[in-house]
Amino acid sequence: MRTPQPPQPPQQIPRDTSQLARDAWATATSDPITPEPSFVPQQPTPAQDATRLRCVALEKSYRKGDLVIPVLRGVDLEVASGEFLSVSGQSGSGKSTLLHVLGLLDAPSVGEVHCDGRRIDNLTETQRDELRNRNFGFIFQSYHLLPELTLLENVVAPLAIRYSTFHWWRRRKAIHDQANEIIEKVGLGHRIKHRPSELSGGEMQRAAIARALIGQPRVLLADEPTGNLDSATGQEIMAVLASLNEVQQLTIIMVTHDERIACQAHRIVRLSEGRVETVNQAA
Amino acid sequence: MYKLQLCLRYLRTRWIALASIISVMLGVATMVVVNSVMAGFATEMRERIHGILADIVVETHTLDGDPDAAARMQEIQEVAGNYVEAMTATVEVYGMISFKYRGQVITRPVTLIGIDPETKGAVSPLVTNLTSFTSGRRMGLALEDDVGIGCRVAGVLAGSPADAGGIHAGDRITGCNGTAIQDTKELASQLKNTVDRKTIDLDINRDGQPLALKLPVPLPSWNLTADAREHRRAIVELERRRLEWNQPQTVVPAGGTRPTPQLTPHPTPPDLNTPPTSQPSPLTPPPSFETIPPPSRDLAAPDVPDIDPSDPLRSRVYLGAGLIEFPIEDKKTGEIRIERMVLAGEDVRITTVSAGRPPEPRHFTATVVDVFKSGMSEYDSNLVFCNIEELQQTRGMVDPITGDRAVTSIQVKLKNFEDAETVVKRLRAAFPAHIYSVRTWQQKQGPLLAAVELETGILNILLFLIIAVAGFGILAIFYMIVVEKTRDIGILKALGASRRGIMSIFLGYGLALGVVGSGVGVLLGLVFVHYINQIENGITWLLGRKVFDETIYYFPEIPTAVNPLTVGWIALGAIGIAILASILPARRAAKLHPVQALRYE
Repeated sequence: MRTPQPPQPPQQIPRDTSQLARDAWATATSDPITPEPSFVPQQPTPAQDATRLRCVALEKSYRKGDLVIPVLRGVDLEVASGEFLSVSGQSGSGKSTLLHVLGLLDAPSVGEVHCDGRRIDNLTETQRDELRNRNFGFIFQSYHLLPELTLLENVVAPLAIRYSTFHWWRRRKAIHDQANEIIEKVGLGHRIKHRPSELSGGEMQRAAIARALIGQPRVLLADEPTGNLDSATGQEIMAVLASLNEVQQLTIIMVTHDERIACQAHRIVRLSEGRVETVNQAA
Repeated sequence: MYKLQLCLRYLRTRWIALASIISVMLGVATMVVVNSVMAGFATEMRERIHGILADIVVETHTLDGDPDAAARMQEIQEVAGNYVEAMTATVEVYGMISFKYRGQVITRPVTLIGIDPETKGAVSPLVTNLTSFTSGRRMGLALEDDVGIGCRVAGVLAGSPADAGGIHAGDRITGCNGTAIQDTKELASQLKNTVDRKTIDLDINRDGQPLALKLPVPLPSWNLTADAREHRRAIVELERRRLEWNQPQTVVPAGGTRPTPQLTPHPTPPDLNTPPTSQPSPLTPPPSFETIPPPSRDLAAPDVPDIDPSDPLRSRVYLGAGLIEFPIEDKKTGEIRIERMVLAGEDVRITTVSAGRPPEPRHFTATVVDVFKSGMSEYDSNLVFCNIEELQQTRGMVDPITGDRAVTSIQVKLKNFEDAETVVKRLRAAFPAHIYSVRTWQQKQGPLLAAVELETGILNILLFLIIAVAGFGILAIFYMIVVEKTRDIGILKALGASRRGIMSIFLGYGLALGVVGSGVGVLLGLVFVHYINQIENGITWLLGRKVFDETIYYFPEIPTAVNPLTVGWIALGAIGIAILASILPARRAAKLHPVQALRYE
């Protein structure tokens, strides 16, 4: 298990690209992650430390022909850094939509989303793509692994998206080492060459977790991660998530309709008809 | 990075895409093959046309011709002397030939061309079109095909160029001008390509020992070959016997009784319906090989009393093969052989018009010296070459006072054909257009060449439509793949892939399909072109009938010419179409909303 990362000093962001390239070269051997573009929220200052993700008066509605169907009707939410939050509610209460809007997969109709003190919902599409890649890790109910790729290739996909072919080739060893480490951590070391169709549900979900982690995200967004699993396997997955939260201080937002699963988070937000019903401190 | 990885992975795992690759591949291969064959035919045809015509032809509009050929040639020399390599004067006029074949009289319309073989041979390849040369007879060679051995020398005429060159009877010819040959047919086509060469290089196998011998390319002449002379002698002899046999029947003796016909030496009348066999068995060289007539016989010399009846007439012709040949299918074996109605050494009757007003029909009898086969059926079934002196005499083109001989056209060979435009321009300025027309061979055959080019163009458009159809196939298949991959696209977007990235996956996929399809297609096409004759043989064997009949096309094998530029354009075009076809599906994929794509089941 990895030790929690010590808080890093605020990084000087190189403005011109040549500097960026030099830094990329310098960091290539030690850390496969390139310096982040300026629009990515910076490492939190102590003042911001409390709040990692915040949404204000979030509304989201879909159009169906002439009908406007509201899904979220004004959601205010703050997620602290290192918090494990679960969002529960009945089907159609808007919990998945909330997760999508927070993860920039969808844009809110009204309201704002802030991450580390910066508004992120009004960024350009390219910037939001980049942010999804670097800032968020997604876990889905039905795993959503790419069927053509092996487990290892699936796990490294976020980095494959992040880097150009040239950079990828220069760092492939570092990336593969990192991927192998993470895969070992989720207990799939013996399955590296397998296709998703050859894995069990629990293994697929663990592969999905490994994929979500490889990009070293700030926030892990899990949409019903145990929904397709039996309770024992679901519990294993929850154990993995809990340990990530505890050991790595990873911020996790998990959507679930299962009360027993929801209880394992620090805090439970219950949604009903697009509004926050109650906020419970979990036992 | 993922773009490359994914489109390569899709290429490997989506078998349905193979269908579009195959359609692109077949389209490209077809285009490559058709273009190569068309180019091969066109090149061959141009060579053949060029071989009969000269680089530049100066013609008079009237058939009466220009009264002073020498002066005109002098003028050409003055105007464009440093471009000109050789010139020859010819008389071209319409005519008719008729000859007897199995009791019928066959008449054909022809274009009669009076030439001087020596100067004509300098202007355009003449001797290589003559069958006596391509069969080896002109050099004194009797060749035959020996099963399993190849082209064998059955006999060599004593004193002939072949004899002087050191060829012995029994030698096997394995190569000609550096190309290996298998049989007499291949040797003939090699000899036909001996254009602009002074010598023929022969590779010979004598009792297992390889030898390299050289033969001079013979000059075209109006002399009969030994075979033709032998054939002529046989005909004359047959005619004499027929007359002898008929004699007693026509003369009724005084006694009123008809005497029994003389049974010896000819108990039966000679079969008049069958011409005597012309080609003596190559295994036994005819005795006349030893008695070759003096080669330079003055044509204009007055007949001497002790004339050899087998001597050719003063008027002599080369007949186009198409005028006197037709294919016959053997009912028993199904084999097609060529029937010749007239052979070298026989006489034909020629009718033409006189010069002067009004034109009157003129007849003369001429001895067939040789048969020429250029491969252009337009020429081979139309042209009769005749000695220019006799034609001028017959048509009254010789000035009785000055002795000047009129000609209708002057053919010019240039040192470098690229100067043709300049020379034509100069000649047009020098020769009044209402009397002369000055054209290059290409301009003279303009419609034919243009037709071939048009044909190639239309064929290319039609074939490119095949690839376009393949493009629509790609479009449909890609749409399907995009729909199938909707969820994966959503996943990629959730992982941070941009619109452009998603689009380039599918564009790259299209590019990969195009590259693979056209690459394999080009390869397939080139292999097909390379082995086209073997493939043709295979199909012939399979179907039991000839696909490519050389008796129709006069090609020993299918000519091909691969133009790398054309092949490149075809491949590029196919790749372009594949990319174009993938734009729409790629845009659709890029526009998918990530959440909706993720929910897609």
